[in-house]
Amino acid sequence: MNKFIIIAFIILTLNSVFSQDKKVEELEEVILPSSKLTRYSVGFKITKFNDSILKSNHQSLSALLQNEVAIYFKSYGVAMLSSPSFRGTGASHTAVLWNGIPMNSTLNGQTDFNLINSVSIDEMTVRAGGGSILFGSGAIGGSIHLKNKIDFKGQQSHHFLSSYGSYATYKVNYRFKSSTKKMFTQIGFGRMSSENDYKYWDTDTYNNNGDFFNNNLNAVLGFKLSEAHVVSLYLDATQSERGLSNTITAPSASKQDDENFKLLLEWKYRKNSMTSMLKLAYLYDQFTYYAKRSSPNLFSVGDSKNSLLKYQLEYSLNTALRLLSGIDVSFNQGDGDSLEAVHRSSYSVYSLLNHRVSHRFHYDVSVRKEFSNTYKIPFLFGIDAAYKYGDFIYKMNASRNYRVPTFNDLYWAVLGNPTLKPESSYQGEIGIAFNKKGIEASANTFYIASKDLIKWSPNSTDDVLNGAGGGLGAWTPKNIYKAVNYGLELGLKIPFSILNVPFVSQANYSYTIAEDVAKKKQLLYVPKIKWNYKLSTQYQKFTGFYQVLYRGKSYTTSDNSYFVANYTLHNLGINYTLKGFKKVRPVIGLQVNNIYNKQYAVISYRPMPGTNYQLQIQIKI
Amino acid sequence: MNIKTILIACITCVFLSCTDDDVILVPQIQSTGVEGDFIELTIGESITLSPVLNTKVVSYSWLVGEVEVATGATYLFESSNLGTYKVLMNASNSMGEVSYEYIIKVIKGKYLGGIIVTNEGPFQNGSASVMHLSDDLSVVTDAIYKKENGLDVGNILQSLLLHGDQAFLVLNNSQKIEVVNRYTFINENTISEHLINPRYAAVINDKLYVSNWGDTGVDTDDYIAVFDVETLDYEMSISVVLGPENMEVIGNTLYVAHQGAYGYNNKISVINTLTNTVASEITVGDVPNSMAVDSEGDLWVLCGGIPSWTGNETFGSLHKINAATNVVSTTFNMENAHPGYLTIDGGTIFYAKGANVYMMMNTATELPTNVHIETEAASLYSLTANSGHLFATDAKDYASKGTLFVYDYLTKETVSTITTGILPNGVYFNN
Repeated sequence: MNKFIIIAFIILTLNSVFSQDKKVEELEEVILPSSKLTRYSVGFKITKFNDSILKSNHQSLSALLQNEVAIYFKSYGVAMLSSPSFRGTGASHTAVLWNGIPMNSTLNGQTDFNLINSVSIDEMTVRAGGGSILFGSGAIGGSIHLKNKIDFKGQQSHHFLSSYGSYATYKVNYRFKSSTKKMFTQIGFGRMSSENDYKYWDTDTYNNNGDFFNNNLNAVLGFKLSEAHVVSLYLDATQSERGLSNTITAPSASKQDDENFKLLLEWKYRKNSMTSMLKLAYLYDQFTYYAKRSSPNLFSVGDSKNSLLKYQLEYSLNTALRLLSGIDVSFNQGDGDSLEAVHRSSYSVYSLLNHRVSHRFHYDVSVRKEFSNTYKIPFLFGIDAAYKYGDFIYKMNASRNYRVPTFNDLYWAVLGNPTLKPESSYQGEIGIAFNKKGIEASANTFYIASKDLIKWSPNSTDDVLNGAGGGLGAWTPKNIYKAVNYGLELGLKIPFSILNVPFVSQANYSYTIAEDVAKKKQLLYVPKIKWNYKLSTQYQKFTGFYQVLYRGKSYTTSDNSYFVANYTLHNLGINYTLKGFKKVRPVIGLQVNNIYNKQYAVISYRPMPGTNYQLQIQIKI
Repeated sequence: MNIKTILIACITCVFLSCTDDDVILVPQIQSTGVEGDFIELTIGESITLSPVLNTKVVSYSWLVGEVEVATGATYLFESSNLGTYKVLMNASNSMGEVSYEYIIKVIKGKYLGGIIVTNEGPFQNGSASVMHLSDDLSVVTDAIYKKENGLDVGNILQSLLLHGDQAFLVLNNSQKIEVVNRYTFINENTISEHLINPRYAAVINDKLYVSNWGDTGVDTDDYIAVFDVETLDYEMSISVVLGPENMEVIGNTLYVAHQGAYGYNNKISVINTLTNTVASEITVGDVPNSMAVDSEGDLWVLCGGIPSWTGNETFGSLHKINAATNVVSTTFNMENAHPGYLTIDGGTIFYAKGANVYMMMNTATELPTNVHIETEAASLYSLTANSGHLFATDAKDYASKGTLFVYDYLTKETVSTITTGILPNGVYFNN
C-alpha cells in the first residue's frame, strides 16, 4: 500500500511504461487486453489513465487530457462548459461513457467535463477514431471511457485529498473503499468551489461572474454471488452551480445550476468460454438557467431522463475466435421550457468478432443496426486489424459512423427541426506503433468524410418555404454541411535516467485539417497544430513534472477572417511524500499553471487565467 | 513623392558631396521634415516645422499670412481654427537665402465626410467594429474605434447616432454607450448607468433619448432613458410598452416604434419631449420594424407582421402617419409578405422583402408590384437610401465578414461592393 503512495503522480506514468515494456514481447497481451473496449479495438490507438494519475491530477480532467493526448477542448473558461473534440470533429462527436453507459446529454449531445469529478473514477480510457459499434451513437471522432473498478481482494482504504489554490479555489475529496471476498463497497464525496475571479489579461475587466461550486457523491457496491455471478451497482450524483463568465466586451449576470444523476445495475455471469452481461441504467440531467442571478424567479429549465437496457453475450469459440453480440434498448425523455415533453425510443442489435489469426495478426469485424421511432439510422460496420512485425505493430481501422440529432436539434420550441437526419461519416486510419525498451513511438494518419452535419444557421427564404421554424433569419438546425477531416498524430515516449534518477520524456503532436467541403475553409475552433510535451521524474521522495502545451491559432469565423491566437502554456508540478506516522504517508504537492503568465483564450474574447497556483495534500490509509 | 522633393534631393546630394562645416554655402533645403504636398492636422493638434538645411544659417523668418510669427530654426504650428494655412519659411546667410512654403490644412478629423458602417460583431465572444469609407468609397478604414482608442468598442453595436460633433455608439450587449468625436473617433465619454439592453438613441432639445428593452425576461420594464446630451447626466426614464426600438424625431415629438423585443407589439409611442411623457400610442400593424420621415415631414412605419411559425401569422403593412395629428392617414397591406428595412430618400421610399428591394414614391396610392433591385445579399441586414444611392449590407452566414453593396437606385447599377466587418447592420453619413 505505502509503496503506492510513494510513487504518487507521475511515477505511475513510469510504471505504465515499464510494465508495457515487459508485455511488449507478446503481441497477444498488447493487443488483447482484458476489457471489452480494448479487446475489440486492436487497430485503434488507445490511451489509458489509471487511478493514481486521476487522483493526483491537480488540474481539471480537461487539462489532463489536453496535456497528454491529441484531444483539444472547447473551454469557455475555468469551470465553464468544456467539451472534448477529436481530430477536428465536434464536441458532440465525442462519445463519453460512464461504466459503459453513454452519458452525453440527450439535450445538447455533449458531455461537460467540468461537471465530472476526476476523483470519482478509477480509470479513464481514450480511444481515438470512430467505429462506435459497441458504444452506440456519437463516436464519430472518438470516445472517452470513465470506469469504476471493483475487486474482491479483501482490502480496505481511505483516501483523502484536499487542495487550495489561486482565486480562492478549494477542493476536498474523500473516498472509502472496502472489499471482502464476497462484497465490495465504495463511497466517495467531493466538493470544489472557487471565486474564480481572475483578471482578464491586461484589461480592466475581471472574471467577475465566474464563481462556482460543485458537489459529488459516488458509490459502488459489488456482490460476488458465486464464482460465476457478480452483481454490482454504481451511483454518481453531481450538483453544481456556476456563474456564467463575462467576456471582454459583454458583461454577464447569469448563472447555471446543473444536477446529474446516474445509476447503473450490472449483472455479470461468466462460465467457461461464455460471458453474459446485463446492464440497466437510469440517467437524469437537469439544468436551470438564470438570465440574471439577482432575479431568482426568472429562470428556464430543461431536463432529460434516459433509461437504458444493455445485454451482451460474449462467447469464445476457440482460442482464436471470440464473438460478442448485444442488444441495446433505450428510452429517452426530454422536457423543459424550450422543449415540450418529448421522447424517443430506440433499440439496436450488434455483433463483434475478434479473430486472432496468428500471434502476429489480429482483426475485428463489427456490425450494428439501430431502429428508432424518430429517425432512420444507416447500417453500421467497422473493421480493424493489427499486425506485428519486429518491434513494430501496424494498425488500421475503417468504419461507418453516425450521430443522432439531439433533442434540442429536433424539438427546441419552434426552432427545432424534427426532420433532421442523423449525421454520418466514413473514416479510415492507418497507424504504426513502435515499442522497445520502454521507448514508445506511434504515428497515425486518419481520414474522415462526414455528411449531413447539423449546424444551426439563419433561415434563408428557401428554408422558410421548406418549413423551417422561426421565419427568415431565425437560427434553426439543418443538415447542411459536409466536412472532410484528415491529419497526422505522432507520439513519442522515452524513459531515461541521469545519475540513476529516472526521467520520462513524452510528446504528442497533431496536425488536423477539418474543412467545410463547400467553403473550403477550416472549421471553427479547430487548431491545425497542437502539441504537448511532458518531462517527469522522481528523486527520492520527490516527484515532479514540467509540461508544455501548444495550441495553434484557430479560426472563429467561417471565412477564416478572424481567429484566436496560438499559445504555449507551461506548467510545473512537484510532489513530496512526508514521513508521516505508522502507515500514513501524506503526499503534498504544488502545481504552478501558466508559469509565464501567457495571455490566452480558447474561445474568442474569453480570457483564461494567468499564472496560478495550487497546493494539494493527499492521504491514503 | 513630388518632383520638387526629388529635385531637392538631387541638389542636396550635389551639395553634400562638397559640404564642409566651416564653409558657409548658399542655403539650400535638404529636407523639409514633412512628406507630401501638405500637412493635415486635426483641430487642436500641433506640429513642429523643422527644415534641415545644408549650411549654417544666420537668420530665419517664419511668416503666416504677412505676419512674422517666429525667427528660430523651427516653428511650432498650433491649429486652433479650421482652414488651410500657408507658412512661409525664409532662411538666409551671407551667401544668399532660401524659402519654403508649408501648406497646412486644419480639418475636423480624418473621418469627416464619407460613410460609417457599423458592424455589430459576434454575440458574446467578440467585438463590434466601425468602418469608415471615403465619399468616393475608394478609401476604406477598418475598425476605426479600435484604431483610435486601442480598445474594442464593445459587444453588439446596435446603432449609432450622429449629433453635433459627436457620435453615440449604442452597445446593446455591453450595456453602454460610447461617446466619440465623430470626426476623430476618439473616445470622449461612456454612459454605462441606467441602460439595460439599449437599442437606439435620438436627440431633441439637448436631451439624449435611448430606447431600452430592460430585462428581456420581463415584458413590463421597457423604457426610454433620458440624459443631458452635454453633461451625459441621467435625468429620468419614461416607461413605455414592450419592445421599444427605432426612434424618429419630428419637432418636439419623439416617435418610438415597438417592434416587441423577443415578443411582438404593434404600437408607436408618441412622446412629448417638453413634458417627457407618453402623449399617445398609435396602433399600427404587427411588429413595426422600421420607421423613416419623408420630405413632407410625414412619418412612415413599416411592419413585418408576426412570423408564421408562431401559429398566429399576420402579414406586413406600411403606414403613413400625419405628424401634425398623429393619426394613420394611409395603410398599405402586404399579402403573404414579411417586409423590412424601410428607408426614405427625400420622397422616394424603399423597403425589402427577403433580398429584394421595392421602390415607391411617397405620393403613391398603391404598393409597387415589381422588384426594383434584386440585391446580391445572402442575408440582407440593413438598407439605407441617400442622395440617389442605396446602401445594402449583407450579413452572409452571420459568422463571417459581411458585404456592403452600393447601388445607384435610378440606374439600378451596382456602384461598389465592399467587404465589411462581421454583421454590418447600419450605414451612416458623416457630413
